Amino acid sequence: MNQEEIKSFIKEIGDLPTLPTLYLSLRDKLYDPRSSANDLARILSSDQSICSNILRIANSSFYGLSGRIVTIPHAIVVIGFNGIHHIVLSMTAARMFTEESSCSGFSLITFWEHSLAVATIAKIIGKKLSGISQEEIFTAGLLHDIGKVIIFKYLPEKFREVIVSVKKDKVLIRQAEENLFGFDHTEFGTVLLREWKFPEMLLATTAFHHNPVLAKEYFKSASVVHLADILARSLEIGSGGDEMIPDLSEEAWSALGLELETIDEIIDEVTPELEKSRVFTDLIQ
Amino acid sequence: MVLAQDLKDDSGRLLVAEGTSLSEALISRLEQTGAALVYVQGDGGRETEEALDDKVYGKEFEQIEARIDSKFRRFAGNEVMIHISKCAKRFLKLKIKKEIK
Repeated sequence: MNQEEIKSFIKEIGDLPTLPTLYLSLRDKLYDPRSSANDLARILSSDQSICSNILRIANSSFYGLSGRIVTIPHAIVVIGFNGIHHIVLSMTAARMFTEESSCSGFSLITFWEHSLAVATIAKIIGKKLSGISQEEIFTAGLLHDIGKVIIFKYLPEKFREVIVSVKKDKVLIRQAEENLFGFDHTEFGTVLLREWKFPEMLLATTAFHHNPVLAKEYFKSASVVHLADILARSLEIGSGGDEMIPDLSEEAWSALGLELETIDEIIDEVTPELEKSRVFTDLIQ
Repeated sequence: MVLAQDLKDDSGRLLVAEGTSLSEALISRLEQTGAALVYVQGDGGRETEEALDDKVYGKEFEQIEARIDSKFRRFAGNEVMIHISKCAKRFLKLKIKKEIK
């Protein structure tokens, strides 16, 4: 099934969720090279919840600026336009899918735990490589499985069948989705992110985190998310709906150029870094 | 299991004398003192903290070993995945130790 067919399939059930106007206005300003920190602050100030969340994240150990950021213009200058964009983008997207699940065997709480672990591990791996933006790779990790919650929202009955099949047939969730729908969550997620006009890198990491070699120019970023997903599953942090470990792409492992010992270093950083990322979980849930 | 060396605290005070038999209760007390490493007499070798952990957390560790081995069984021969499985076991054992404490 191609992207257009999936899109029309979703539209038969109901319209795709639309992004809040605040995010759209913010994005317009971010893409305008003439914009200043005050321009962005004016848009953000219309939503006190977003403002307080930005200040909370800016002052958390995630950025290591504890207690020093007291105004939004200051936060924008210190974190940068890209950082602000990714905070608002990930908060906006994630908060659209937080209502508690009634599906046995799948919980949105453990789903976001898994997503946060992938985001955090992707950030740790990204620090060890050149040319990877920590904000971007964190967001890529956080949203890599967003297609699953879209299936959960739009096709709840079918999603239950997926979870039953995962348990009964002992297959990965994407294999069960493929068997039942003819497509999987990566394709669903990509359709939504494309509809939302999210950055191409996020589309690529969402679409190809199981097969990074297809991500072309975003191969390296997709490989980071791919490895982060395998590590998060291996460390049993949260759950994306199945408990199996996917195959590691040999091409992705080679492209990252990591030593085996680097895996030990990455895992040693997981617990403290996850603690820093907790501020996101608090704000999502 | 018998202690192979005197165990002393930071100020040199004797806590447990060499040759003392390590009962479950004594091992628990040693855990509480934060003793990072003790030497015990074995079959010609030295057992370390790992042996002590296996004694205290044996059941939980066995469950972790079995679960991870089962998840990684299909990757036999894959050097990277075998390494990840070892790291995962270490991570999960450390986590369970912290939770139990």
